[in-house]
Amino acid sequence: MALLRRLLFRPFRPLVRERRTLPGILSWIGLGTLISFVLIGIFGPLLISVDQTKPLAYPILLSPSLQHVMGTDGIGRDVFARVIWGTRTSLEIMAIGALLALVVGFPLGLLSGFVGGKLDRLFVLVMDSVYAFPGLLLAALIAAVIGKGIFNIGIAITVIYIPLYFRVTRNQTLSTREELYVEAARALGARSRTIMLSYIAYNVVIVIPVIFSLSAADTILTAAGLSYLGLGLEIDVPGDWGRDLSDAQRFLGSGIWWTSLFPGLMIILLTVGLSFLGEGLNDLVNPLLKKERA
Amino acid sequence: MTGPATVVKAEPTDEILRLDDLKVHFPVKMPFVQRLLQRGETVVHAVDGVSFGIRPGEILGLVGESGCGKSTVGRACVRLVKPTAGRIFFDGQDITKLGGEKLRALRRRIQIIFQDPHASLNPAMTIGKAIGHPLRIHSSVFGPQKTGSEEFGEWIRQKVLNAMKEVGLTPEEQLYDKYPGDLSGGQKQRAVMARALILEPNLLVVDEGVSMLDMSVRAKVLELMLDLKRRHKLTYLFITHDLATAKFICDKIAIMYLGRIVEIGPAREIYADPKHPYTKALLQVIPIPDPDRRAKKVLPRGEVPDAVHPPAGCRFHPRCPAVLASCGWEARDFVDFLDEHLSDPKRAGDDETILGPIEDWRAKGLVASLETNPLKVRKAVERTNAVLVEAPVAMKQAVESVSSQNRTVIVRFRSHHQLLQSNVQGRVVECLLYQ
Amino acid sequence: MSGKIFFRGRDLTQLSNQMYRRIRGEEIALIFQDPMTRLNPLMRIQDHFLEEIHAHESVSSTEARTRAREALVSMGIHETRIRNYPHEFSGGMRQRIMIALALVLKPSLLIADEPTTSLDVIVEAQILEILQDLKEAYHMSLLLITHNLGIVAEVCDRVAVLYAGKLVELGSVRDIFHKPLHPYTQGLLASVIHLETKELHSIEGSPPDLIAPPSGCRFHPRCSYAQPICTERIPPLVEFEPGHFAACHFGDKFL
Ligand SMILES: Nc1ncnc2c1ncn2[C@@H]1O[C@H](COP(=O)(O)OP(=O)(O)OP(=O)(O)O)[C@@H](O)[C@H]1O
Ligand code: SF4
Ligand code: SF4
Ligand SMILES: [Mg+2]
Repeated sequence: MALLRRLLFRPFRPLVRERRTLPGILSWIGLGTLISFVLIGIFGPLLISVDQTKPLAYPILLSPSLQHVMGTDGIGRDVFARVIWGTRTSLEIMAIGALLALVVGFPLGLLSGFVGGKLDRLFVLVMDSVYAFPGLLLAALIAAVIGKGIFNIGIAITVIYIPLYFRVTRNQTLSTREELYVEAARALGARSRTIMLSYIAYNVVIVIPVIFSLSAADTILTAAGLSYLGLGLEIDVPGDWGRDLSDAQRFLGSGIWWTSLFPGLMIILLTVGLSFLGEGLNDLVNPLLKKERA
Repeated sequence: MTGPATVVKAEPTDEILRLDDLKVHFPVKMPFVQRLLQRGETVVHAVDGVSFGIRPGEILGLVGESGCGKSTVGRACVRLVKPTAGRIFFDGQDITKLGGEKLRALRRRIQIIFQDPHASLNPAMTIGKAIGHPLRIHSSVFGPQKTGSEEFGEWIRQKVLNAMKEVGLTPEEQLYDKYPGDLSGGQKQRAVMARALILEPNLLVVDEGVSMLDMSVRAKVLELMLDLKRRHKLTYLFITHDLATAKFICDKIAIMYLGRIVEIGPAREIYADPKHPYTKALLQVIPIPDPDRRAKKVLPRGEVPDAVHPPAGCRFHPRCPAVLASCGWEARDFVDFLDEHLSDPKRAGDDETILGPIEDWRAKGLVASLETNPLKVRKAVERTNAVLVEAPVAMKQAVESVSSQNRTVIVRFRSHHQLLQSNVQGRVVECLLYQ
Repeated sequence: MSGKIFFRGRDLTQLSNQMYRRIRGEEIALIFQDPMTRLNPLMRIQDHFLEEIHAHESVSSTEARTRAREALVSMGIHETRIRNYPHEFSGGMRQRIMIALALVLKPSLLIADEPTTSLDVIVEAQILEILQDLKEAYHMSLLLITHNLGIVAEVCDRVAVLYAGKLVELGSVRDIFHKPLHPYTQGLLASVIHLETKELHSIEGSPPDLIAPPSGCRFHPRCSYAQPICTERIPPLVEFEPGHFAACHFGDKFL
């Protein structure tokens, strides 16, 4: 348990230690954005009735006003309510997609890199073939096969990102495995399990938040993309940025901007925030990895 | 492989560590296609028949140039690399093939310290944790209390603080929770020593353990080692390329060259009167910090050859200033010599047109040959003889014949003498001069 | 950066970059600890030489090639290998190639920064021997930068000792080794482990932080002779005997 706790906290140490540097500030902005979205995703739907997101709840295409701060859309849904509920949807997909990919990809990468040999070659072969597929196309294929729904989309996206986690973890494991301190641990009589957990996992886990943030940002875009293509969620999901954007498109020509601006803005804000976090952490972690050896 | 034979009398003595004709060969990494084309296996002969023993409380220095296999011997002793052949005894027990729990148990008694203290410490572990980690790893043996209990943690903490004090890593309470990145090089090396010592091992392998420390810290760490030897009767295998430090600290010295020990014996005697030509060369090049004692040195030629194809006979023969005709001359020595000859325009004259290009020469064991056209063969033989006149005397004497066969010039060497180890004035030397 | 660097009476810091580049190479050559910092792994040895020669002199390719070959042979490397790539040579050979490359323009000053630190003892001795021979053959000055006092004793004529970014002692190699005036030099000499070492000595403490160096004499926190004046005043570099300088308030005590 203590080990798990340390494994969980270790990646965030640089965030605290380097908070005054540019990448530190960037990461904090990103983290702030993420947290705000999570709060909106959790509490927003509690405050806003789901009825407002249903078709014909209101007159169609009302421009933003005090009653409808973001107006209503082509089939009479409140855009603000859709956006808030959409946050929850996106976060759910992101959580399922990125987390599941992490939970599968990280241990596989660790194992593959640590054990090596035939097992490693097999894993690499499989993962590389998955990785070689264009992400959106693959997700679309899977979605077409297993059907719509938040969970299914999450799974479809997971499959794209597992190889990413796998590769980064495996490479990091391979280089960590060659470290002298790992050999030293072996000379001390440490069992393989101890070496893998206390020495290798511990030094590999530091790269996880980086890939998590970057892949999460990508997840949002992929999910929106799927919805945009009409392959995403069921029609009665109370909020779906991608589909709302797609629906809004045909009104753009007639000067109706609010139905596309707000879902679009949400997508951009969340992905940019996550990218900030990812890139910032990457800058923090990589020099740190170097500095710790220098 | 017609390597030098090894005479070992492995009598069960009071030795704590005994290596018996130890060999460690590493496969050479090669592209797949090349591996297919190559017949036979290509290996690095990192350690190729090393035998020695260490008695309790003794410091044995293992000295030699880079790549001669010192570290590999050290790693084999703690079983971090698998011996290809030969045997390792620790405290009378054969540990060559030990595995699993038995190997783990052994590792409580033999510890190793590497050159780079920074790289030897897990950057994510505090110093206190790192030093105490061996105790946790072996908790089943050590823990008087149940692992994980409060007292066990406290017991470890006390032991760690003691160990830190013992190696002079103070103030220990404050350093306990620091990360390796926060410590200086000397402190890190002390931490590594504390970690190695906390299990109270009997044998400590120190692989270039002080080379990276600066002068003032080095002196302190060396003193610490001597102190531990006195107080705990600790035994050391001290691996270094620094002969001066080795002289200061070691009781016995083993000089290694290209995977073999060429001279081994009491430090005092070897330093006072080195016997093996390689030992002599090494001792000669140690700079003396006194400008009034500059002296012209007789240096061996060239550099250490490749351990993939070590020279035949005595491995030092291509560079040895005292080389004899029987030391192991072979075809490729002649080709190398010819290459050198041809590349000096002043000496070569028109030899190049008759004996060159050098790539056309084939060297196989004792026979070097050049296929040329029938008209030139006679002349080529003549020239070869002429070139050989300028060769080192020993090489010249080792040539059995220069002859021709149809269109081929053949230079044949005599086979070399069997190289044995001889006892010379209290030490063992592997050199034909003393056989 | 401040101060001046005089080379043959000319202040190098005042020269244009272009002039400076000309002098470096033609007159002043450099070799480093790691030969690969200077050798391009993708270029044949011959091309390194040609590039160097053509950058500084207008000679025919044939002439340049001949000079390259001569330089290589003078370092004991077969000229047949001039078309090889750097990685096809051993560490010692690469270092010799570096020296050959530095010498191909026949400079009058060679600056060698730890030229043998990464090499084996025997190869080190070989290289030092070559450097000494060259010094005589080409009438070249050598600035050898090293932490190995043994090498200094064997090769150098005069020695400058630096501590924490300051020159603390300067003199003939005999003065420095037999009559060191500065306590740091004394400590340094005492801490060398050589074949006759019977007892280990070391300088207490560790080198200072150069961002905030100690006041007065930078050595005072580690000096056993330090007096109150040492913490207050920076000792000037004084010529205590002809040609023997030291920056210590009490240098005359050790004469
Ligand atoms: N794991 C390995 N795989 C392949 N070759 C190896 C391996 N370890 C060592 N070698 C080779 O074995 C030889 C001996 O290496 P070793 O590290 O024992 O030398 P050393 O005497 O310790 O040298 P140094 O003074 O440079 O540390 C070298 O040629 C080296 O390249
Ligand atoms: S056997 Fe002795 S003399 Fe002959 S080459 Fe080897 S070291 Fe030199
Ligand atoms: S000036 Fe003072 S502190 Fe500095 S070296 Fe001399 S005696 Fe020591
Ligand atoms: Mg080594």
